[in-house]
Amino acid sequence: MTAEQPRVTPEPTDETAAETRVLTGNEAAAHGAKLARPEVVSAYPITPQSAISETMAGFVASGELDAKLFRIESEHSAMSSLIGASLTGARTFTATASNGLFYMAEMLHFASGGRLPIVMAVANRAASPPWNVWGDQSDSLSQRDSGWIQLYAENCQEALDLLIQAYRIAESDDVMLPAMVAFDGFQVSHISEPVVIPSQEAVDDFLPPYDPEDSLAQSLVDGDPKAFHHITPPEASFFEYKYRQAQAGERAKDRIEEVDRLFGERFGRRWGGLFDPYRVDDAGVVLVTLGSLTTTAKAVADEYREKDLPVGVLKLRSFRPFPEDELATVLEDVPVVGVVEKDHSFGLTGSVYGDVAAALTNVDGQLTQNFVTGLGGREVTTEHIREMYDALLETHDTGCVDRRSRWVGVSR
Amino acid sequence: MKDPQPRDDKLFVQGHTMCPGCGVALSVNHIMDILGEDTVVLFSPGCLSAASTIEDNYRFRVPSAHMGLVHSAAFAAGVSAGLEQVGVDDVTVAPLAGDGATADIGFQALSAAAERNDDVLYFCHDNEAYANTGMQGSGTTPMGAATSTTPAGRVAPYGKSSRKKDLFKLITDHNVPYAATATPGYLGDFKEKVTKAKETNGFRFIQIFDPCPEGWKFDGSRTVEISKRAVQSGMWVLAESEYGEIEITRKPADREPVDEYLELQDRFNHLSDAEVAQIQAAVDEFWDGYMEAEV
Repeated sequence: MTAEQPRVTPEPTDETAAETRVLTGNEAAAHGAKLARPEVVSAYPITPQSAISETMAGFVASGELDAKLFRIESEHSAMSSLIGASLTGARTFTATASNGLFYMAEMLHFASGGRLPIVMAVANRAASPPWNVWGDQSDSLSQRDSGWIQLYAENCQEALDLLIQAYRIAESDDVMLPAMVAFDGFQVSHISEPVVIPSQEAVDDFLPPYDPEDSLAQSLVDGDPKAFHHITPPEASFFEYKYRQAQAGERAKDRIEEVDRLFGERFGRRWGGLFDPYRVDDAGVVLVTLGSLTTTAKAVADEYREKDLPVGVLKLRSFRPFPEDELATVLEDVPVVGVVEKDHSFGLTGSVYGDVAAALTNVDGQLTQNFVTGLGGREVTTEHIREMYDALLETHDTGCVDRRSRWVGVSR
Repeated sequence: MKDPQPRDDKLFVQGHTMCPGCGVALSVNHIMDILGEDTVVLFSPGCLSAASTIEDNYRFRVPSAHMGLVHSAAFAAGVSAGLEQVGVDDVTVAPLAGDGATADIGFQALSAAAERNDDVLYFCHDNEAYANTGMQGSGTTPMGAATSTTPAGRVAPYGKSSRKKDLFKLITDHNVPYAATATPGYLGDFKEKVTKAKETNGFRFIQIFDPCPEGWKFDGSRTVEISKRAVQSGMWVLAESEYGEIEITRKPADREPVDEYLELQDRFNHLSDAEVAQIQAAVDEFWDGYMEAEV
């Protein structure tokens, strides 16, 4: 983050705002989670999310939140306990990062395969070693195929809003998938911004209680014994379960768009649904971003537009489900598309780039370029973004592009 | 069973595919009789789940879920907390887990749930190996037993070289409301303990010594005999504890030598006399430890 970066300074927009307070990203995420009224919370401390667990524990201890809070001994057990709780029909919440997310990985698949709409905040952190607690996106992006909805927030307000939205998306009858809300460790988790905290009444009105059709509790109440996660041999229903899960992921795209629109109508803030294009319409060059460096990229785009350079930004909000068709449509007439991300998939490019390039594969004559930056919390400055735009503009003029990822900000 | 038809009052129903003479099947039958309908059973991957929860052949008449191998206690604690939060009361949440899921890979989650005193009745069906995957050795495999990963060979003639992990004592040391050991050969003792555990709140743990004819290599008609001889020889101690205070619930008047117990099972048939003597010495020490631990 740099001094040049513009800050989002939200104002209470209507009667739904209870108050505006200066909160860190972690505190904002905890407030968002609290407003969703989770009934079971289970989280293990890890930098940079520990403040979320602590804030939630404070809410429960003070009586502000009526939830069972597990002082759990590991992230694996945190997710396991929430799987058990979600299976009874309870609304659940956890938070983690990096090593904790990796330790949970087995259970991420369990939660999605079990169609349990658990919601988790991820304060993105690098994968060690060398040891590093600072922010990059290689933790959540590496869990791409775990079956979780992955939504990325740009700032503290969006983290709060997206946590509330995530429950409504995940618990939709035609979705029923777990969702993680990711935001940059330190660049969002530890910075303070003015944040509008919606009133509990407004959130209750927006987000009905979780009441699944099938659950262990319902099975007990009905006296109708059901077996969950039963064994499905190859000739039985496993393949069909996975097909239905894939379809649910497709439908989640519609719900993400719809919930953003409904949230905007109710609370006066819209964030863009699957993605948020900025000055893209007549752009010759667009930089696709994820998370907090979007703010920096928009500032540089404004600067370049002043100089009549046709650049734009597209903030990707949903990495899974991936808005393949929607991206292809909005970027159809953009000759050069760059993708910047704080991760790298060994032996290839960044994870996001691979998916964006696949989405654009049928756009004739379009050129794409990947930028890997900010690993281990390295600051991404406006100068770095200028380097990316300059490279993309050069590609625009020359038609030449390097297929490999360009590492920006690294000392060679 | 005299009656060939499934009985309407049974919650663990005939038609499962456990082996003839399986100790686990015997134990679960009695456990379900005592726990009753207001129960959620949770399966760690293993023989029981593989033989009774396959699609279109579900053999329980209570709600259930299949868990992963690592997390039985944490999963069950979540179910218990969730039911309380959604207002479904007076339900026994009972993980039915194997010894590998309990003593090895799931021990961290088990220890934490015991320490937190989560409201769970945890059953460890101890057949002293990973039976369902082909009898690989576990932390509760006894010293001297040959398993598929502790085979007796020329340079390692002994089978498993370390002693059986004492789960009951470890959980007792977490100061839990109730912990016990049981075995289907002593059914009165078994039923009393399951009943007591059901009527207690908080974390409850019962480790059941469940002989495995297939894995231990004995005839399935001798399950109860093996179960009894394990207790009579001191290979298995029947005990219970409340908040850390241990009481032995059945003391054999004269402990039998272990060789008679060992001879009944081919998993021990590679042992020399000297090795059997070593096992006898270890069992004597184990038994003396319990005598001293008793209040």
